[in-house]
Amino acid sequence: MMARGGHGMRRLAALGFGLVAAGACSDGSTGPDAPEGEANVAFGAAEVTLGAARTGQIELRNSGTAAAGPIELRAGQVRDAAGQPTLAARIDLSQEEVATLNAGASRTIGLTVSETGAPPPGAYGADVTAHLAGEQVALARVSFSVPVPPAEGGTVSLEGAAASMRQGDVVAFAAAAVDSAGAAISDPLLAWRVEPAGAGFAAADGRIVAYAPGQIRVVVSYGSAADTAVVQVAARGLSGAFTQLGAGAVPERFTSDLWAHGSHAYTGTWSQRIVAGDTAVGNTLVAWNIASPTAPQRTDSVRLDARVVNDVKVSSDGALAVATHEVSSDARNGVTVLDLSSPAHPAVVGRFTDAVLSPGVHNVWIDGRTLYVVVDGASPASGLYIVDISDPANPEVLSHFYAGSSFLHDVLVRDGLAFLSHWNAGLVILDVGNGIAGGSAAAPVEVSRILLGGQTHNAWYWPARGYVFVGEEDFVAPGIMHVVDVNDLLAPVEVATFRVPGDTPHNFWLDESAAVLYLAWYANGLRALDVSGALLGELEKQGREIASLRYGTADACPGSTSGTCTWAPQLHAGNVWVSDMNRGLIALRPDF
Amino acid sequence: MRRLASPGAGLRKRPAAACAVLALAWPGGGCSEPAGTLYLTSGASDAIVVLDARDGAHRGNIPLDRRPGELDEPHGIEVSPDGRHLYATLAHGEPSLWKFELPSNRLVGRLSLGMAGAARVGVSPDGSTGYVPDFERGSGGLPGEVVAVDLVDLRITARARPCAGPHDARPDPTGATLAVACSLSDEVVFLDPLTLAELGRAAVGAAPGAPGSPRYRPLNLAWVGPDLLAVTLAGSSEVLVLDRDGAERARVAVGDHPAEIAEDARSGRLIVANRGDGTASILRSDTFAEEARVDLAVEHPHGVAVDPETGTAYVSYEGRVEGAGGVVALDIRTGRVAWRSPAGYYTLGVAFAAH
Repeated sequence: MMARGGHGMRRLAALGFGLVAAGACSDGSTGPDAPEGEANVAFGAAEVTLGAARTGQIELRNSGTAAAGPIELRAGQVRDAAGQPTLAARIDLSQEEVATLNAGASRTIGLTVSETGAPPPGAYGADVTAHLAGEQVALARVSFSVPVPPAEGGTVSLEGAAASMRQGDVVAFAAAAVDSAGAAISDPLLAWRVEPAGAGFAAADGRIVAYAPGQIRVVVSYGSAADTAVVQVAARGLSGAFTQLGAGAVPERFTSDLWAHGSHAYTGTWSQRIVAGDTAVGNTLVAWNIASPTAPQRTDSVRLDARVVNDVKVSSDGALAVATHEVSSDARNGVTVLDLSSPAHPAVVGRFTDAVLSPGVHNVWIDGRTLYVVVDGASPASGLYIVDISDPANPEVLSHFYAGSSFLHDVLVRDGLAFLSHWNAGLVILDVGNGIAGGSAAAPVEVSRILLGGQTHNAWYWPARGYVFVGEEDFVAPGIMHVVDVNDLLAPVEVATFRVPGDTPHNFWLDESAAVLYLAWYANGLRALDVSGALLGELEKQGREIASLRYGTADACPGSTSGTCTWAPQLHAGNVWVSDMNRGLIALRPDF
Repeated sequence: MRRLASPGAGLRKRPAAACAVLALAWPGGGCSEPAGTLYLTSGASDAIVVLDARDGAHRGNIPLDRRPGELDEPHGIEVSPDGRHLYATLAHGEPSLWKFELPSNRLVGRLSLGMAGAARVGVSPDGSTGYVPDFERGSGGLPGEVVAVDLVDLRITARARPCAGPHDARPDPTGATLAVACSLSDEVVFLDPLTLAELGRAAVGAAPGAPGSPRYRPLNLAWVGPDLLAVTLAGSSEVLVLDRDGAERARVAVGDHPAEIAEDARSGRLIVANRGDGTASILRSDTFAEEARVDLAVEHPHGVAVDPETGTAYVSYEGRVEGAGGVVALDIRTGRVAWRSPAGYYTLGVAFAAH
């Protein structure tokens, strides 16, 4: 049904995209096989060169005979002339989706280079692509350049350059420049790179990270002058594995989030699952005894009026649990507070369904006796609600925050700071009692925010190191993990990324003492990533992944009873407990 | 009023004899076998379920799944007047309006609406404009939005905040007036369909609740000709009939918690899905008397669509939390259930297409 056109475009026959036929149509009139024409979507130019202002535009056309849409637009990573990615600049598009493009119609898409750092002089480019039903249908190359600043002669010299380094370690290089008269130049604009191309990453300030063992050259240039250091790179030398110790099956429902406390754990359930003709919905909170990781025991189930119990959290003292509900039968969504006096048998204290929560609650966080509630929706009345649960039977809404432009997906609170994963509004940091911006739980104040390419799904704040690990849940691209440096909370900056091909990340858990980040990655299972030291560049190229395990098959996620579909990890009592949508609760021992 | 018990579930085919009887006795009713296609929004599985309107047989699913790990609740669904396009709303996540070509079911567009809870979609008589209210349940008494959408190019042409909790926005058959049911403020607001400027408003009862605490809860609308507007009042279990000036012309008790309402102009009947008690009310559209209340024997009836050719009403039902939703085919003339078909989960809207 598809044929390639020129310049990266594809002709798309208009033949029923999206219809998943359950059987042959009885009369052929409603099936996917009634041709209605072809869409032919392409950019007006295969290449666009941006001028000194680094802005421009490109036209997206449909020269076919059928409408097409929605057309998703993406700007790829900005890369230098050697093909190496840089985090110092990105291409912003005036719109990320064209709702529909009728036959013969066109749209003009604005292009702007945003500098998130200081890209060194040189030529840069990024692919801009258009996608229809997940398929790339058009491609254009956008290029721009950062000019070499005028340098009237002179030389540049590396100072105290390291002769060796370890793969993945960040080493700061320094250099000095002098003019043709031999006088030192104050604050020279230096350009750094690693050779051969792809062997490492160079930040604008001379911090270098090597990607592979062997020999690299670190090159610094000033105008036409340059100096080079040859550096031996040793392998990071990490290895490890996960061993599955035991599992508690939830075969009848899809499992959602997890929280373990003491010798018990609690898992939610999600949407509806059909097994052998029987349907079960996500209306259940499951309680487990996990004293024995080889044989976790299901001790109880609590039914809630919901079709999705997406999240569950336990207070730090283990006294209370809170479960979320969405798609309730009475449209009164909210949270259920549970008493854990008998941890094997949670007892419902109350169902809190204040009207402000009624669109549905997706995630929560408990900080003492303050509850941070994520309410569905993308309007000023949705977003974060902060609720006092000092009297668990009578919660009281304290305050509300909405960052605008997109819905809130998740929240984490630590040290008086709330980290809001606010989807296309990015990562938003609130002062809810930290003091940096004078905020409190009753009156939160925004500290800062950073856009990370959209679909900002979850975050883990590591105050000791000043990093936030942010998950981007993009099922198409697919998504990645972003590392944001928040040592200056007022000016967060992205410094590194981590990718695993084929699926998108979900929830994370950080072992802070060991500097190991555990990442649930849906069908790609559980990953363990060494996050010790400074973090810079593409972490997956640095030998930092210690272990990974796809403990089941690669079947449907969610869907297959045998397939891997990792939702959330939690390091607890030395083992990593994992909730898996397909399987339930799994105990893994990290052997490293 | 007749109160009809439901026949046994599982009856899937309308007997041929009934068709012959219908031809003789039913005003405007032809004797064609029920045909066409039903589209149902499955709120808890992010899909449109496609059924054969003759017998409820499952033809397929159309995914409305922007975020496979999340549940975004497809809600409103409507076929364009010319039958060439299908429109559906996704309520949560990134609330959006989806456009499909018919009969191929091919997705040709999706517009992000920038609202909290996209509810139903009303389409202008010429098919050029759609209207989507933001049913923001958590808004309290604050006014919520209604947007007007150019359905050709899928772009928003106007926005307004007429009242609290708008759930249904429906243009009259001439396209001159847009009526909005304000579920959280006990009002119906009349708007200019082009600019969404307010033309007037009417309280739906003598003792309306304060915004955010409605007493009558007007949920859905059906125009009865160009001059009368039927409004379901979920809070008081009534159908209210207003004229174009907002004056009350009739008020009739129906089943518990009425949800959607649709007119079958040929037969001169209105069909109401009563969410609270599992029934459907059949009203005469001249006197607005309740002619029958049919026990559908399903949980939470929600949507109504009509096949005017055959005089069949299709009533979607949400189902219980633990089970499937679906649709019931109801012979409007006899009030008999022709068949029931489980389809989807938390099944909300239903639309009928003749193809």
